[in-house]
Formats: sequence, structure tokens, C-alpha cells
Amino acid sequence: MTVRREAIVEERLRTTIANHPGGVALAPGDEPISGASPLTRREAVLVFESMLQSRLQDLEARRLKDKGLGFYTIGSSGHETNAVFGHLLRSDDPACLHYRSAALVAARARKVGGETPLFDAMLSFVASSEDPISGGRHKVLGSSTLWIPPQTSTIASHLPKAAGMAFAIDRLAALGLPLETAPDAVVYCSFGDASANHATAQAGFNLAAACALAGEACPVIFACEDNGIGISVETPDGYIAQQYAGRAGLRYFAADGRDLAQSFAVAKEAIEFCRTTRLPVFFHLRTVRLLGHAGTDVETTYWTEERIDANEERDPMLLHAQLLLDSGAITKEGLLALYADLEERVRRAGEEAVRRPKLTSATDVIAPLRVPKQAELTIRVGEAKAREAAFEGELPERDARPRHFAFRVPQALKDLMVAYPNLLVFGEDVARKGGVYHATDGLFGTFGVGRVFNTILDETSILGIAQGAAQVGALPFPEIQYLAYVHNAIDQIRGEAASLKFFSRGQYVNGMVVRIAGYGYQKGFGGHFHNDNSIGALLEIPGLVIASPSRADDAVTMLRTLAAAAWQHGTVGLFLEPIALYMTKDVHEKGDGLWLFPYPQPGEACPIGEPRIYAGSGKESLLIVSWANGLLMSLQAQRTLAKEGIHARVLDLRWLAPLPHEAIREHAAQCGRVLVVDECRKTHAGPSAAILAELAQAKETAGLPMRRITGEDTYIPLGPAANLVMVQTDDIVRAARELAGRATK
Amino acid sequence: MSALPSAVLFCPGRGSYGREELGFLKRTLRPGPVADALLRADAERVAAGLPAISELDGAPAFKPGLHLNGANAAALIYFATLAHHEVLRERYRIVAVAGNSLGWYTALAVAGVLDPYDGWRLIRTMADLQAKVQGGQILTSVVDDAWRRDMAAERELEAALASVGARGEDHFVARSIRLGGHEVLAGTEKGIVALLETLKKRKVGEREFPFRLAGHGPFHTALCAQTSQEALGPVTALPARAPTTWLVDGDGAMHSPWSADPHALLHWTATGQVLRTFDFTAAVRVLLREFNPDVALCAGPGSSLRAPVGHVVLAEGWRGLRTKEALFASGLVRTE
Repeated sequence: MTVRREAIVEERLRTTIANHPGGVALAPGDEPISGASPLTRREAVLVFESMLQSRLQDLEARRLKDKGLGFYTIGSSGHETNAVFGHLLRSDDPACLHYRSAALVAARARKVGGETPLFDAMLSFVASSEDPISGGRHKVLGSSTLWIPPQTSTIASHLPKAAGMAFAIDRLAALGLPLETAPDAVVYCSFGDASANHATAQAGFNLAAACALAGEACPVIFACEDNGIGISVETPDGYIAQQYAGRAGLRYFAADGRDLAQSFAVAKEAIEFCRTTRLPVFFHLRTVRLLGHAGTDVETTYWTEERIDANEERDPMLLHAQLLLDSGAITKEGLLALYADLEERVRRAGEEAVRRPKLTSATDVIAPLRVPKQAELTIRVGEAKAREAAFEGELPERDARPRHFAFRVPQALKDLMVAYPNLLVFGEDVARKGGVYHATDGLFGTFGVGRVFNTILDETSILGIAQGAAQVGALPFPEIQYLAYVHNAIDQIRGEAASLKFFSRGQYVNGMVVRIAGYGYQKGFGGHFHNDNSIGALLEIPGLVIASPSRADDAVTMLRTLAAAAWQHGTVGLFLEPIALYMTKDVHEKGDGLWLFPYPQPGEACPIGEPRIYAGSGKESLLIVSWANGLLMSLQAQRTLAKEGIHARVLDLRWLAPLPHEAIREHAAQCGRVLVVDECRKTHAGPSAAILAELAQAKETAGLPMRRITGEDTYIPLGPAANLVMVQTDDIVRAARELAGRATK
Repeated sequence: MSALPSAVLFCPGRGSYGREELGFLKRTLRPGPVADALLRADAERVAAGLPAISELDGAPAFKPGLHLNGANAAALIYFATLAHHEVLRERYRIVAVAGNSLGWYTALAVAGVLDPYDGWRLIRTMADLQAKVQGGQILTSVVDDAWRRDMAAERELEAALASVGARGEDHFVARSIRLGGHEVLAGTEKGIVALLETLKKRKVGEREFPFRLAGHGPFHTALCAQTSQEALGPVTALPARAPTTWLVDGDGAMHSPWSADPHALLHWTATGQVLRTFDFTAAVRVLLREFNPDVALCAGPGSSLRAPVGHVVLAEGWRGLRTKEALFASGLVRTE
């Protein structure tokens, strides 16, 4: 039994052509290849050229891997019929592709001048830094000139953003806002039958269908390339059709990828349907998986030789070649020449690709994740008249009264919506209700449902809309109602939004500001799901900027910075709002009003990574590092400690990613002792461990007395018990005394 | 597959037949379809009171006024390249063809889309129509002596185009041909004069840039709209066949011998390439990357494409070639 099947599959195709009796004269290229098919003979050959290119690329990828020169072997063999979409879609219809769509890419590239899909594919196999889309960071199907944003997903986690993009195209067009696509563009999104089961795939279908059923446009084509197997696990016969043929809100089309003329005709019909009705399509394209899941997947471990052989016998390319020859679209000699030509070109492209440079330093690898410096950002202020109108003549900076956090956030958002006409606010309950904590109060009334809208109750969909909308020209400000809810959709930030710049070398961006209400301290109300105090899953995401203000004025200036970074630099920013501080007005005593702040002057912004210092007497011997609820408690502790002669300086981190390590180090060295107050739970949930590790390793702070206090490793319980597991002001005072070498009274 | 080295062939455009090229056609031409077409073309020209092409080629001295006249130059270059191709194809396995500007018309004939005589009809039609367009072309360079891209020169060029263009419709200027490290700019008479005044003089090798291209019109710009309109009928009526080899056009688009639509090629010939920038640079890049030939062959007359093709090879660092010296030593870019 031969384990390696490449040569067998290749030979079967070659033999099919060679054994054809030939003798069919060339027939007119402009006429249908069969019956009344919309596919002409000439187009069939053109599409076949891309299919064969894709097949031969797959084989070359494996040869490169065998020689230790290539690093990726998941191929498109047996899926080549997707090239009909490459030919039929416009080259500016966004295409979010899974890894078996190489033929589609090749076919689309043929429609545009200056494209070099063959060489580009080789560069990606060998992970060259000259790979035009990812710069050697991943083998992705992508192109900045062909509107193919790269997807690295193997689990269909790109479907929500495809639906979101489709929704946003029509939304932005309706609002008369500049669009990165044509207003009648459709979004194409491919994936496999096995990954259709994934929760994010289901979220994508649901989002599109929900739009359609609610009368909203969502022109997306979900193309399920059904090869009947996911690695070694077979999809039951008829499964995809049973699941999707009658799904409300999705128009189902089906084609057999082994029938080129039929696939072309149905694809044409589906695209026209989607483009004209602006409704979502589920396109079921039956394909065959050849050469295993990847080069490392040995089919003999789960299939018999007979089964493998029978599968390879179903190779769609055999039928396509036969069709071309039988119909007189090409002569036998012509097809042999075409084959030889492509074989040589693929080999030659590979020869040069292996010589091209690779990424050679960590700095180069990381470069696309760079966080912008403040000097690179323009803090935008809306036009005076438009601001006056939006605030109905009462500009917030003219209001002398200091205000609390929840009062300033909607003002900041309103101001930003004036400054950025493409800023969209969306999430659960954000529209007419103005958010469960009123953080979006008044926006719906001022800007209308086009720019301020409620979404379906699903965080994956919210973040999918954000990603898609950002890529077609919006500045999305999605809201996640509670921190705990972000975790069911975390991959939309971690694996998708935050990684786009990395895998596209910054050529595609999805700048956004995700507002999330979170943390504990809600006086026993809400329990875990409304008091989540872990942000560990967010802190580890490369390239993400995380802001977490604790006071009203900082909220305003930090939102301004995040908006500018998202719009100008494509930064994905998170804005964590401490629920317990929304209405807080006082710090020490009821009525002291020390937590009320004026509206920062328009244009004033807080630079990313800049902490705020609350100095004490000037002779501080302790640095307390904290943020959010912990900050307020630290300030309370600061006063108590001062009375005891322990002088503390308090540093509000404000930015949790990237952390202001340098500033912390500097202040720590000046004060001589460090206490990190981390309201998150103890293990990997907050930033304190990272802060202490940096201090312990830095020359100027190593050896200083330092410690942290955190919450317990538990979920937050309901009622007064909540306080038993979260940091309290007294804990801070006690820890500070210990650090200062004083006994607690 | 033949043992001959594989080659992509570049057909030169206007300006390639100069003093040095006198007699090139005669020296190169062999009996066959090209010679037959030349005989017919000459007969037609003589009947129309024009000097025969072979007579121009055989003239004892090069007369700029005569040899650089648009219709004469186009005819000379076309037949000279076709004749040269017949020689070259015996030494090389030509896998793909592209051309620079006028060279695109030649490329169509080299690739067999048009037979040599119909190619001549295309040349004549386009030359006649283009002669009516007012305006001109200038040639400038954005590389240094070592053929490295000079970003400052590039920016200066952009700024000059913007500032001259901003003076009004009568100062229309645009990029005409992207030609490796050379840039051909075109525009109205006023626009061209202003561009020549605005662009700083720069010396590359022995040549001083920018300079006006004598007898050239504002090709590959919107100023040729009338040409395109009038050309469409006669050009698309020419009998065309599928190419016998790959063709890469002035958008850098690839056309295969098995799927190219000959009618669409003619349509683009009368429209796309007439009205917008001819991107020869893209064509070279595509041919290098998608064919990786043994040789990038610059057909005669002359060697005008050697530098532009070389510029692209260096910009790409193709086969590790990053200096002019290494490029020359490699023999990758050839004129014969």
C-alpha cells in the first residue's frame, strides 16, 4: 500500500488526458460548453488553468516540504471547482477564504493586471518575508489588491466577520458614508462541511439569517465546500443539505463540484441572487478531498486502500479535463501543452521562491503589532456647529459642574460620533434604552438607528459586525454588556480581530474600540456573571490595547485616544469600564465629591501607556500600583496610611496593555517599596504577577520589598459573601504596613 | 520540451530605431511571411506617396525628421522587431511575449494573434489616428547611476504631476508609461512645457533627464479618447486568432494560448491601453515571477528596453541580482 498518494493522483490526471482518444476539433470559444450552460468553452479553459495551477501548487508544496524548504501542505486538491467563484465574483467583492480556496484566488488574480498568484503561492509555502500578504508570518490565502483579507481560521471563526462585513456594506451605503467596497459588493466566505459545526460558524449563519428575517441586508455567500470529511471524521451523507436546505433566512443553492458546467451555472445564479436581493446565501458545493487533510495526514490510518482509491477516482479534475476535451474547448495536444507549461512554471517559481529572504528577527516578526505613539495620532474634534447641535447647545466643557463616570462616557461617545461620522455604536440594549448602565444614553436619539443599534443577543455576532464593519470603512464601538460575556466570544478578539494586522502585515486592519463593563464590587448584586474579575484572557493577546479608567475625565481622554488609534492605526482597543464606579462620586466620605470631574477640553487626550500618579507628601516610601476599583481603595488606604506616617504614592495604571513598566519601575525605585493592588483573582487573572516579575528582574528595582494583594481564586458569589473573596481597603492598609515593617494594630 | 533556453520576449516601442539601427531590418529580414507583409506594406506606402519602409531602413543617413516621424518610425520598428523575432526564436524557446507601448502591437503579431500584414494594418491605423492628437511625451528617470530607485526623485515626480495638473484642464498631465526606472509622462502642450520647467534636471549615466520625446503624442492618457473611439471599429474588425504563446499586456494581465479571447485583446488594444497608463514595469514583473525564464530577451531594433527591464530585475532582486554589475554579468537580460 502506498502511503504517499501525490504521484498516484497526479498520474491519474495525466493519464486521463493522455488516454483521451483526441481528434475533437476546436469548437467556437464563445459558445456554451454544453447545452444552454452559461459557461463558454473559453471560460471553461480559463477557469481550468487556475484549477490546474492550484493542483500543481499543492504538489509543489509537498515537494518543498520533503526537501525541508516548505512549511505548509494543506491543499486545495479536489476543491478546485471553487475557481468558478474566482471567475464569477468581482475582484472587489471581499472574499474571506479558508485554506482550500487556492484555485479561487488564482482565478480571481487572472481578472486583474499585475497579479502574480503563482509566485506568491510559492513565497507563502516557503514562509518568505516577501510573501506579499503575510510577509512570512503564515501561509494564508490573501491579497491586498484582490480584496482577500487573510483568514487563518481552521474552525470557521471567520464567518461572523463575513456576515458583519456584508451587513456593514449596506449599512454604510445607506448612511451615505465612504465605503471600502462598491455599494453593491457581496461578501464571499468559504469553509468546510466539518467546520460548519463550529459554534462560530453557527453564529455567522445565525447573524446573517437574523438580519434577513429582520429585513436587514446581509449580502454574504457562505460557501460550504463539502468534501464529506474533517481530517478523519466523516460527515454523514446528506448532513449539510439536511441542516441548511430549509434554514429560514438563508437561501440555499447546491452544486456538484464534479460538474463544472452545473457548478458554474448555479454559482452565477447564487451570486446574482445575493447581489440583487442583498440577502444571505448558503452555497453547498460538493467537493472531494484528495491527498489527505494535510501532508502529514496519512489516510491509510483510517481508510482502506480501496476506499482511498475510489475517492481519488472521483477527482473532479478528471471530469473537467474530459469535458474540455469532449466539447472541443481545447485539443488534446493543447491540454498536454497547457499541463507541461504549468508544470514548468510552477517548478521555476518554486526555484526562485526558496531563494527569497525569510524573517530574520523577532522585531521583524512582531512589527505589525506595534502600538502607535501618541505623536502619530490626531485627536479629532468635531466641527463646532455639529457639536453644538449634537449637545443641543450645551457643550459639556462649558458645564462647570464636575460629573461622575457614567455621565461623562455618553458625552465622550457623542463627541466622538460627531468627530467621526463613520463611528457606529452597537450591542445589546445600547439603542433606545441607552445601555443597561446608561453609558450610551442619548446617542440613539441624536444619531438614529443607522449608527446606534441593538444587535442580537450574541457577543460573537457583535464582534463579527465590528470586524466586518471596520474592514469596509466604519469605526466600530461595539459594547459587550458584561466582562463575563466576552469569554464566549473571546476568539473573535484573540484569534481574529487582534491578529488581522499580524497576518496581513498591516495591509488589512479592523480598528475598533470594544467597550466592556466589568469587575466586581457591586455591593453583592449580580453574582459572578455580572462581577467577573478576571481579565487574564485579554491581557495575553498580542497587539491589543487595553484601557481601564477609573474616573470620568480619564474615561473621556482615553476614549479619544482609542478612537484615534483605531481609525488611524487600525488598533483594536478594549475599554474596560468598572461598573461599580459608574455612579461613584465620593472617595473618602459621603458627599466629598472627590470622584467627580469636569469634561476635558476637546482635543485633550491620554497617551497610551501613560499612568496617573497620585503623589502623597513628597517623601513617599511606598508605591501602590493599582487601577479601577483597586485604585479608589488604594487612595482611601493612602489617606489612612499617611495618618500613620506611612507615605504612599499611588500609581493608576490606566492602561493594562501595554503595561507602563518603565513608569512603574521609575516610581518604584524612587519609593523603595511596592505594593500592587490587583482586584482580579490571584492566578493569571490580572496584571500584578507580570508587574512584579518585571520589577524583580529590573536592575534598578530588583531586591526591593514588594508584594501584591489579589482576589481569591474563585467565582464571585452573590450577596455580602462577595466581599470575602475580593480585595478590600483594609487589606491594602495591612499589606502596606507589613511592607513598611509596621505591625498592624 | 526543447533544450533551448527559455525566454520571455520584450518588443520595443517608439524611439527604439535610431541612427545606429539604420539597415537593421535589411540585415535581419529573412524570406517568409514577415518579408511578404513588408512587400505589401511598402507597395501601399509607395502608392500613397510615402517612402517605403525598406527604403527608410536602407537610407544612407539617418534623418530625424524622416525616421522619427510617427508613422515612419512605427512601421520601421514593427517590421524590424518581427524580423528579429524570427531569428531569435531559433535560439530561444519563447514562452511569453510583452511589449512596450507600440511594442504591444508588435507583440500581438509575434504571438500570432495577428498575422504580420494585419499587424501592419493595426500599426498604420493607430499611427494615423494618434498623429491627430495634440500634446506630447517626456522621458524622465527615477533611478540613479547604479539603477537604484531614487525615492526623492519619485516624490519630486509625483509633486510635479500634481502641481502642473492643478493649473487647469489645459495643463493636463499624466503618467503615460511606467518603464522600469524610467517614467514616460504625457500631457497637453502646455502641460508638457510646464513639466519640463518644473522637474529638476538629473543626469543618469551620460543622459540628462527629463527630455521631450520628439514626434510623440500624449499616448496612454485620456487625451487619446478620440483615438480610442475611432480605432475601436477598425481594430476590432481585424482578423485575430488565439495567441500561440502567453501574452502579458500593459496592465500586467496574462493571456494564455489556450484561453485568450482574441477579440478581447483587440478591444483592449483600442481602448484600455490607449486611454490609461501603460504599465510595462508590471508586465516585466509578471513575466519574471510567473515564468522565471532563463533569459529576459529584449528584441531589436536597438536595445532601448535593456535598461527598463534591468531596472525591474534589480528592484525585484531577481535571482539575487542587486547590482548593475551582477546583472550584466548574469546574462539574464539580453539584447542580440
